Amino acid sequence: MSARLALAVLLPIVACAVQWYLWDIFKPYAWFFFIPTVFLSAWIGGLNGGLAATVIGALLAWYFFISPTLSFHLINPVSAFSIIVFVLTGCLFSVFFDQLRRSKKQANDALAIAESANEKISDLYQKLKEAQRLASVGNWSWDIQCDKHTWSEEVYNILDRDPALHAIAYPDVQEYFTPESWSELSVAVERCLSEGVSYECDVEVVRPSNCPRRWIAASGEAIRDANGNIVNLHGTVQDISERKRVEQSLRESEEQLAVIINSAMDGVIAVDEQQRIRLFNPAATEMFGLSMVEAIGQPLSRLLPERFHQAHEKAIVNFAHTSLKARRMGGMGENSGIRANGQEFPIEASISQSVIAGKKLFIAIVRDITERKQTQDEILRLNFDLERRVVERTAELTAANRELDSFAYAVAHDLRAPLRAMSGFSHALQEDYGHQLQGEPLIYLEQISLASRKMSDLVDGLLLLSRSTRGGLQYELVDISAMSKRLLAELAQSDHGQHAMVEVEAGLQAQCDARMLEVVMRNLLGNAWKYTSHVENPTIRVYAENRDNAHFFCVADNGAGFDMAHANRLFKPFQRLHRQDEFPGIGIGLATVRRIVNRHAGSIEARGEPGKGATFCFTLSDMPVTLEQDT
Amino acid sequence: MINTKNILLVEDNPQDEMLTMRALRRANLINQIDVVRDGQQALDYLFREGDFIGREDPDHPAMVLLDIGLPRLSGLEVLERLRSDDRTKFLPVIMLTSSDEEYDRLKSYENHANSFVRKPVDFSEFAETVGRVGVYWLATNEPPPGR
Repeated sequence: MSARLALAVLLPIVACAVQWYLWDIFKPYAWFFFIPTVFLSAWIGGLNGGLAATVIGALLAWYFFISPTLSFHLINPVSAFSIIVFVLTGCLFSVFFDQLRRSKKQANDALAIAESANEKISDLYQKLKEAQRLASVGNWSWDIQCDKHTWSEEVYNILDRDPALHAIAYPDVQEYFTPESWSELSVAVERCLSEGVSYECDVEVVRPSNCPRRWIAASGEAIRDANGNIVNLHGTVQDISERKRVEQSLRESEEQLAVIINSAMDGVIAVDEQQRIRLFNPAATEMFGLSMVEAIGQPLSRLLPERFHQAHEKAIVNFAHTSLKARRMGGMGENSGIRANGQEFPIEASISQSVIAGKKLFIAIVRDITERKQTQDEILRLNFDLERRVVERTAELTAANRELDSFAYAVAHDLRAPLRAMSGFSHALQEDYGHQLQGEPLIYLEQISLASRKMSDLVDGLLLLSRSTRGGLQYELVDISAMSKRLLAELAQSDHGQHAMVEVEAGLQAQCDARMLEVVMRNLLGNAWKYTSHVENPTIRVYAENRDNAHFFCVADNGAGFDMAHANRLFKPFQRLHRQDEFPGIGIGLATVRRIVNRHAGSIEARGEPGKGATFCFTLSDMPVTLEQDT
Repeated sequence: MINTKNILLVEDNPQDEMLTMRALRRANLINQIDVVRDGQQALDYLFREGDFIGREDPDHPAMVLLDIGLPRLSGLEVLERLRSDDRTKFLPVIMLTSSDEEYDRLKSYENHANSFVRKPVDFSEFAETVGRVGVYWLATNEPPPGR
């Protein structure tokens, strides 16, 4: 600024010098160079420069070029007037340029402000765009007078429309909505147009491409001019598909939950911290005879018999202080509920606690166990009945067994006495009066003796048979080989006329009742002995064989044998396959053998052929004990 | 030395009684044979009670042939009573029975019967058995020292 001022001050001096040098040419025009100089100085130096140049210029021209020259004396009044005009002109130039400079500065300032404002606006616009994108919110406006629609970029995005295209006018925009949504939206827009009522509604958008449908929240409001006429509509659209989806799934899960709770067989009852009922499902309604409306808000104790109230309340409070999520209710004892009609009924309940929206909620699952209790009672009763009946039957059976025992005893004792009398007295007769009798009477007496002996054998056989089914079995390891040898030796000793070849396999053993097994072996070996009495080289074998997953003990002989056609009669009491005169017997031995074998959970079978011998094989149990296992 | 004291036969079956008597006689035993017909009578006889108060013979019989199947008191009960009484605990008692029930045999031995004899159906066997028993207990066996 000072340089400009110095230049402005210097210019009149330079003009003075130039005019002094060229004075001869420009004489008498004393102001010729000074007027443009002052103009220049005012341009360059502004108000101060101009004024300084004017004063300096006026003084220099007055002194050097106005006559009398080189003095400040004024002779001619015109000269004085010219000085005044010059000074005024100089002042005018100064003021003019000063004004000019101020205007220019103002203009520049204004321009700068405008530019910065522009920047800010553009920045804001970007931010707005960003915000709309992030929030999926777009805005639109509709100038009704010129029917001009304007959409923000996000509106295009939401409707999936090419931003290069123009905004679609109302009501052509219908194509973007489902029919249901459009009917709702169009009604709202029409009301906004005609009555100026703002609207907000959720509508479903169908987008042209195969994009999934979207839900948007559309809102709009009217703008009126000074006269109150509606001139513009503007509003926003927001993509709420995600919210809708969440709402939908929430609704679905809520519905599912409701279905579960409503269709549950068990009563579901939610109770708040004040123990007031907050939820009461249909099963609970039915169980307690209380409608949902009646139940909600009621204290939980309403559902319980009075004697449980205190304990129950305490139990819930205690439970609330535990960190347990759930537990059975009623712990030790029975739990009961009470119906609206005052009827008590047994329940089974569990309780759980959770905090929902900052509030504690207890959820009780209640089951009416009346039927179960009845069933249990019934089962108990039936069991009791059954046990009683078992005891009764056992007693009956014991009594029957005892009766049978005494019957057998009576048979043994009392049946023999008359036989003995028959035999005894016929003998006495023979001894005392035998010499008076001859021929047939003696034979008759002998027949009486024979018959009584036969009858005695029958009684003995029957007793053995009946004894074989009575009494417990005392299992022990029995050496069958040794037993067989002993029995065969006894047979050989009692029958001097017969010498049979005997082969007894060594090491035959079984876990069984020794005395019972002896009855078996005595019978089988006795039979073998008896039925080989007519053959030339009688042979009796005792051996074991394994077949059909069973361990058989066998007694085989080469005697009379039997016809397999009659094999099924062998084991029946009093059934014989041979005549008395062939082989005497009473037909009860094998029946006894089979009973004993059966009592040992075994089985017996017979193979035979007439004239070639018979084999009897029996099992005693699934797992016979062998010598090897024993040692 | 033949014991000449009485023999007591306890038998309810008259036919068995007759046969037993016959067998004993034929074994040449000359002793007097007293017969009672049930268990109670047997005890009364031996302890001189009831009908037998003041029984003439001051001694116990030389032996008792005791049937098991008796009316009122069974032979086993009689035996038990005899063995629990000091007066009769050494008295020779021979159980005579039709049955060969193990229970009877076991009980007889538990109560210290001196013998257990099954009455065979066959008469000659029966007679022989009774005779042998009689001879054994009256002639062969030495009785306990008298008090």
